[in-house]
Amino acid sequence: MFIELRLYATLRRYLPDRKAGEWHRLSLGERATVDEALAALGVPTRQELQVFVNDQAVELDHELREGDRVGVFPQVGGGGPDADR
Amino acid sequence: MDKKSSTRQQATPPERPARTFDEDQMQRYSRHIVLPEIGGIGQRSLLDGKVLIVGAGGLGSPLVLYLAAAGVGRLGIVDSDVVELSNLQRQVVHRTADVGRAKAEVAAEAARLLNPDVVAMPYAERLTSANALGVIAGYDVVVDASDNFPTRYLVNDACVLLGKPLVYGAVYRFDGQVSVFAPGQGCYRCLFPRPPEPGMIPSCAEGGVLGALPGVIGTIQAMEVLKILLGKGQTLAGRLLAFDGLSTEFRELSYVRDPDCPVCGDRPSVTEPIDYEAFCGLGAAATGR
Repeated sequence: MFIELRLYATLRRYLPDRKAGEWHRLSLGERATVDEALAALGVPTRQELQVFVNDQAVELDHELREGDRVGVFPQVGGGGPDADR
Repeated sequence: MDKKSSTRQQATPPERPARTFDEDQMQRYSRHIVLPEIGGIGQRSLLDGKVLIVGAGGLGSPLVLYLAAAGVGRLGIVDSDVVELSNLQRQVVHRTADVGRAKAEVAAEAARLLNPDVVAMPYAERLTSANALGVIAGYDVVVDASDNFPTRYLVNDACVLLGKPLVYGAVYRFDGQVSVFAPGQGCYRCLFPRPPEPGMIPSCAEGGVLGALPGVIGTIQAMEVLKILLGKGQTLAGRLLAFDGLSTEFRELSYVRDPDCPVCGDRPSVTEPIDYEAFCGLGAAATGR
């Protein structure tokens, strides 16, 4: 099956060729889960990730379906007082 | 001092704005007052509002300026850093001549200069487990404009414990995130239960940040604060708004409160602020604090 995927912030480096605004099309086996999709791209899942499938928050063991759109967000620290430390 | 003026002074102490609008205020806030959603009553809510901004950097800059301009009556600004030259590419509340000065003081001064109705309270210190509840208790709304994880978890936990709405924002390179953690509708820990391993998430200094990005995200945070104070519209509670600055795209993602959340869940295990440096795997020396 195929899903579409976007990685955000610090995870962008795992899809270096993706053009801005594009979804990465990924081929997976039937009944593949989110963490299997991330493993296929080499994204480490030991960090805390927020995963959204079709814009709804899900867990890493969520089973994907054909055509799902998956967005993965890492924690982002930046914004304020210690930005130059 | 005669009795009449003494009474008037008592009725309107300098740190508390009068209940009525003087002519300057009518002009200053006229573009708010003509909005049916705001009017005089809404503007009074803003003038009576007390907002704590944690961080006077990239996100804090537009927050301070827009909330002061809007007439939010009391602004607390927490930041223990001093202005550095490398801040000025994005931290627009500070000026070149401010390099070396305390960011909290500079930001508070900017707020007062922009709008004398605003009582700006600088806290040129770190928010800690020892002082957070005491500081936050005095405010209606809290804004997370920090950029380190111990502070993010501390502010989150303190707001949950005190039942205060928290307006969250974060930026990295070209990406930004915003949400509102409203009491009972999920918190930062519901999204990110555990902090990242030390060094796993680069800071802005390591990863860079496009200067206008914190302007976008901080301004959305300011919008959310104003809506909360006004009680108007729908806030981002239960929604994470993600901004991709490279493609200029917003995505809105839904989340719900985690009943197993250690802070806002059904059976919370965190009932007072903890040691957030230790929680994040950081020693005091490692973070320079």
